[in-house]
Amino acid sequence: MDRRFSVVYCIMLLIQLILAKYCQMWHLVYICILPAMILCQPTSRPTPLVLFIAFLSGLAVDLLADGVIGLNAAALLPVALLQKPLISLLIDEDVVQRHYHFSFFRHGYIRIGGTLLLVIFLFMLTYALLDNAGERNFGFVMLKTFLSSVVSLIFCIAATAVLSPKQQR
Amino acid sequence: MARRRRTFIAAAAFIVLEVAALCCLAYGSELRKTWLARPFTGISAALWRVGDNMRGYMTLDKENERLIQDNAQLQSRILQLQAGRPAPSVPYTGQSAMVVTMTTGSQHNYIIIDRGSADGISEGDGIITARGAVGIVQATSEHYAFALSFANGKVVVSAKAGREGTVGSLTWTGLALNAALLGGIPVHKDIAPGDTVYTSGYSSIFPPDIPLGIVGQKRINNGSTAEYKVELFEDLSSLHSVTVVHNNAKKEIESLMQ
Repeated sequence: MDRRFSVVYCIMLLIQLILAKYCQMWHLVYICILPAMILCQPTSRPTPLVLFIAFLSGLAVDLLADGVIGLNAAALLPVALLQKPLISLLIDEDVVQRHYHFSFFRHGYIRIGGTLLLVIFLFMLTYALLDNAGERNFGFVMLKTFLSSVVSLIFCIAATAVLSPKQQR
Repeated sequence: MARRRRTFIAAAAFIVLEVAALCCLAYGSELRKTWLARPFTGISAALWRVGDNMRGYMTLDKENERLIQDNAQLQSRILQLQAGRPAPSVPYTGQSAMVVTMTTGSQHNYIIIDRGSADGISEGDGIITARGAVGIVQATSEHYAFALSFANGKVVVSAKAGREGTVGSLTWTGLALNAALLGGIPVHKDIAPGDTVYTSGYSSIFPPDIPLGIVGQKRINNGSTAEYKVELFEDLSSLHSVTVVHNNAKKEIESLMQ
């Protein structure tokens, strides 16, 4: 399962690079599937490893597509830190305890969709705050966070469905 | 006990990596010049070249039209100079370059061009077209240069407008690619809507008198300075051929300023 996940994760990272490079339709909307990719990390992986994966993934997008080094990496780390507590709290405690993967089939769209929205909002808020610090007002930051979260949610649901193990979808 | 230890290790890893990411963010421009990040300019250029070439191929008609217009402007300039007007003595040299890749949807957009340190490009060189100042080179690799686009919150261009040539600072609004703000203009200086905004030449990056855009609505900030909306001439979303300008007197000017 871990090997399949790693291959799909790398493909998802390539898709994120293409999204960051070619699919930024408007300056107020940033489409990002990185929060879903981190939330879907196997719960058997220790948190420091998930943090390291988040850091490297964010840095890859920053260096190859986004242009601002450290921006995606800094915004993704809080998501990685809160991955297990949020899954325990909002999806199912057993997912973390017994190290299996959550899925839409087993846990439902509302529970997983809600958790995804929360992690995307956390990511986008950090991203917009760091991206616009000292340059734009707070209203701009909140508007960008809100719009980007709503649009990214659709892409993140699709990414989560792909990253879920086949037999558990 | 083991759980507490795991939590402590996770928190420590988070702090270390978050500090590293924030340091990258704070010192990004310096980091990009180091051996560690410099190869990524070339990798990024190679990675996106195919997609951007396809985009360029689709807009060839538009590009041809732009080149015809540029040609016409240059012809009229030659005629003006031949008519006896003294040629301005500007210490700038320019060389053409092609945009390899660029972003337009972010708040901090960038451009990568196919000229690097081997071609004599250095940090702080300006990137212009006949219709505006479009970027400033931030780092170079051997064959490529990474530049901040004008559509980047960190780029400020010294610009002038109006009959008296009142100087202010031109920045991107962050909302639309063709919208900028000319700020820092004293309230008593009158700039009429429809006036053309030019580069002032007061910075050592861009030569003077490059047309940038048209003045629009006025807004007064804190009762002391006015801010004007500016509609840019250059379409920053479809840049292909650009000119990199280097100020030969830059080092001398900077040494005087220190």
